[in-house]
Amino acid sequence: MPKPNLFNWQDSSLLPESGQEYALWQSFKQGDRNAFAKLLNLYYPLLLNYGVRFQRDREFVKDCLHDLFIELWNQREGLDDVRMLKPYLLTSLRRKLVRETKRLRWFREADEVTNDYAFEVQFTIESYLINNEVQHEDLKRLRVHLDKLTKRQREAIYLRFFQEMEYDDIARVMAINYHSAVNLVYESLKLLRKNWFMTVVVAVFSALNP
Amino acid sequence: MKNYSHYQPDDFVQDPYFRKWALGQLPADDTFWTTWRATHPEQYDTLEQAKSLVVALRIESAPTDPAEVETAIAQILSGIETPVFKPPFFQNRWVQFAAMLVVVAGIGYGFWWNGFPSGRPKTLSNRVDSEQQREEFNSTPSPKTIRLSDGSEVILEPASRLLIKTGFGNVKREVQLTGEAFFQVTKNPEKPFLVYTGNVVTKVLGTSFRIKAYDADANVSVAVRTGKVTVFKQTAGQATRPTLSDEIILTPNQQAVFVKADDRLVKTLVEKPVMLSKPADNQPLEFSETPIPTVFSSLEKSYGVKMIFDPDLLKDCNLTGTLTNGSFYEKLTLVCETIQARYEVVDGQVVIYGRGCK
Repeated sequence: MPKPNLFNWQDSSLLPESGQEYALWQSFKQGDRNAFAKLLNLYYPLLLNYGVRFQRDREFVKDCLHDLFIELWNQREGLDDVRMLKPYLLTSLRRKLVRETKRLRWFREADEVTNDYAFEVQFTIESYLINNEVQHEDLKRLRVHLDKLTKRQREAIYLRFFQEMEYDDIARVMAINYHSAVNLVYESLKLLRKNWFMTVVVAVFSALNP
Repeated sequence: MKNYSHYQPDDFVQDPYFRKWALGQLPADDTFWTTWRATHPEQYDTLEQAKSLVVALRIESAPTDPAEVETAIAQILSGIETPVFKPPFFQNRWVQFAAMLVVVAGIGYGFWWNGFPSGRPKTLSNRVDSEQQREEFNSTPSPKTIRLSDGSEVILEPASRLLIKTGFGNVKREVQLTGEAFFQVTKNPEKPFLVYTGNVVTKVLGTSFRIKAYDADANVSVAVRTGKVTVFKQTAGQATRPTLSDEIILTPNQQAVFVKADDRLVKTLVEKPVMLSKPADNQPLEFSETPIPTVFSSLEKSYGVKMIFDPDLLKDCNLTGTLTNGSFYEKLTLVCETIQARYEVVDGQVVIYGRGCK
């Protein structure tokens, strides 16, 4: 297996440089409401996007986020000095979702919350095949292969490619070790990079990206 | 700069700089990759494969409504009022009284528990669900048009019932139908539209179709007018991940019939296929000494229905006349009579059996 490259991702342009982020976190810890509001605006949409893939009940995810941020505010003085907020917040949300799901299952009306977490992602190619008049055999085969991805593989792919995260951060969020995180992503790529799949992919996208 | 010469597709896919290029996110004056590709012709295929993979495996984002986020953030901010100093809670006389009440109430609650009204316990916070389940029933003798929050339209036939599920439009658009309705679904690939009818689930992204699912009928049918629709059987619990054998993909003028007695889905054509409304495909169906394969492919295009025939066998058969009026099946019969052939509808397609002409 080729060695994965460990260079830093260039951070998504929407999010502040980690220096600024650090300053923001410090102001928040000192009780600056504006800094807190800024944090919310920066991270709420991203966290919601992650949460709803994890747990289908959107209101439930929003409730968890609500509580998470209130807790952060109430405990702000005792919080660590965090330099990278994204992995920190994603980890906190993930823990909370797992905990609250377990707690809800305790109650009788818990059916609405799916028992096991499912990680839902839809790839561009799937939507493309559905939206266009592409032979459905290809679509079926694609789905067979995508269905083979485990939820952990999906989550790793999502964190790596959609959230553009480093492997050690992915490992932290998913509570696994570094090598498992690397493996999850490589195994998924191996699964998808079969000959027939490449044929479909290249055929579809050479038309779009000359 | 990294040495990319020995990179495999997977390595490129993982490389952030490469990904940015593949997704067209690099500034226009950054020509590193085009130059690299030109100077490494032996890696050309690898690079192209990797590029396609990056694009294909891009994950569709689930867009969030800015208003929804704004409301949620406002709620959080209003939840962090400036703290006021409170004496330790147990010194408060009222707290002591309340503690006693809790004990008493707890005992009473134990007896009352079994009759406790249902509803999801709000363990997290006490916000009210904004979207409640909504039900529409058409008790009038004429069809009733219902507009959904996503802009989709449902024409509900008499004595039919539509249930719009809680959270419609959040992640998915889910409704349940008993009876008959015509759906005109607003396109939104991010939020699939699902119609539940007994054991049959119809999944679309944006299209129009009719569903007949009366409890008293032996069949459930889903007929497609435009676009593409997926129909599958619902197996206990898991509605969204169909097994492939149970899934049928329908194109315009095709319909899926679920035979309740056999628990089986069959694909066929709708009773009255209509011409597709795309003007580009609406060629005049006028022929003079036109070879039959051409006639069939015109019909195929006009109705979007696949015709299966042997072009070599039929290449010497001709047709002169117009096929502008009449139903699809009348036209088909007319053509078949002319060339001494017959047709069958198999799996939503038309198969022509003929002996050819000399």
